[in-house]
Amino acid sequence: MFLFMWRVGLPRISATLESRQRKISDDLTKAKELAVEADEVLKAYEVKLSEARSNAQEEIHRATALAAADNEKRNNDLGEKLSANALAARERIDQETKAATENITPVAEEIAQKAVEQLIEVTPNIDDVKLAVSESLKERTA
Amino acid sequence: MASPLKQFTIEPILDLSIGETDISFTNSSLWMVITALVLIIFVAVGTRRSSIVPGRWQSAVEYFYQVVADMVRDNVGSGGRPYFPFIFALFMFILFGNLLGLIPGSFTFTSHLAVTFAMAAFIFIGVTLIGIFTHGLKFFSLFFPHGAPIVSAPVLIPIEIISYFSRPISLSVRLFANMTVGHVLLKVIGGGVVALGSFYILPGIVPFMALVAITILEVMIAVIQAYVFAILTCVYLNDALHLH
Repeated sequence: MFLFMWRVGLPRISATLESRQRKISDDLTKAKELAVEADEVLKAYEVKLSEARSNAQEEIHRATALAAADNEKRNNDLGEKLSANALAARERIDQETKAATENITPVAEEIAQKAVEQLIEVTPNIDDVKLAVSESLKERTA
Repeated sequence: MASPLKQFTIEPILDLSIGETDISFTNSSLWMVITALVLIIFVAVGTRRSSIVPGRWQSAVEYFYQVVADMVRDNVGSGGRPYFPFIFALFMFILFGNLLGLIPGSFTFTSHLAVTFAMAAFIFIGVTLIGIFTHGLKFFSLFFPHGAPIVSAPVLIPIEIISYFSRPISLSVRLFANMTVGHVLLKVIGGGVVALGSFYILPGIVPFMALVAITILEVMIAVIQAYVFAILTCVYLNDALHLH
């Protein structure tokens, strides 16, 4: 019985316990290595994430600046276009006003002459009537 | 009821003798052989497919290994490593002998002083020889405690010598007495259960409960006495290896 324990039983148990201890030690070492590796990966990930956030912020700023510049340019263009349109409209209005005034002058002279004749039964000098109508139109269109 | 001491009777199974010396194979011998075989089977099966993740049986064997290894390391130190197989075999042999002896109808060989004293004497002689081979004549300084005044030597040395030589007696008597008394007690209370239970069932319940409690106690004593025997062997071995 003692010989069996000494030569067979105990060496087997001892070998098993040693291999288990070795396996546990190996696993612990591996786990520590993996933990260190995981920490490094996590740090790298955090650095990348930080860089990505920073890049995204820069992109947002750049895009915002571009959009603002584009908006300003469009506003300016639109303003210029509207100003040009307004100027052209003004000129057309002036031309139309001038044309209308020119068209209305003979009629106004004739009406003024007839009105004087009707009111005071005197036929005014046509040159005086023209002068009076011309001055009156100038006052109105001034 | 049969005598409570009848269970300890040595009965020859195979009569053998060398000259005048009786070397018969007895019921005690048979149970020692059975114990050794059960122990071998226990360890052999437990270590048959030793795996990293142990099963129940393997765990049990490894548990006993760890208990004895811790015992030897704590009490003897690294110097006790060569003696670990002997301590393990001794502890397991006594433990299994004690536990198998609790099976009704079996025989408790550790309840015989001849057996326990043979083991104790073997340990005593072995430990003494280890001490002498390790330290030479310096081993005998064990009989004079270190640091004691020299004038106390005439008193202390005889006391230490008597103490030393009483080791095998105390070691063997402790195990023998515990096993014998325990089995006598079980037999007496067991007799009470039968006697009172045959009269009425109810009066038999009280001694039966006591018998259950004593049986549990005996299982604990069987384990504790094996442990005490092994640990005292470690202490004696430590004294021999490291003196005081």
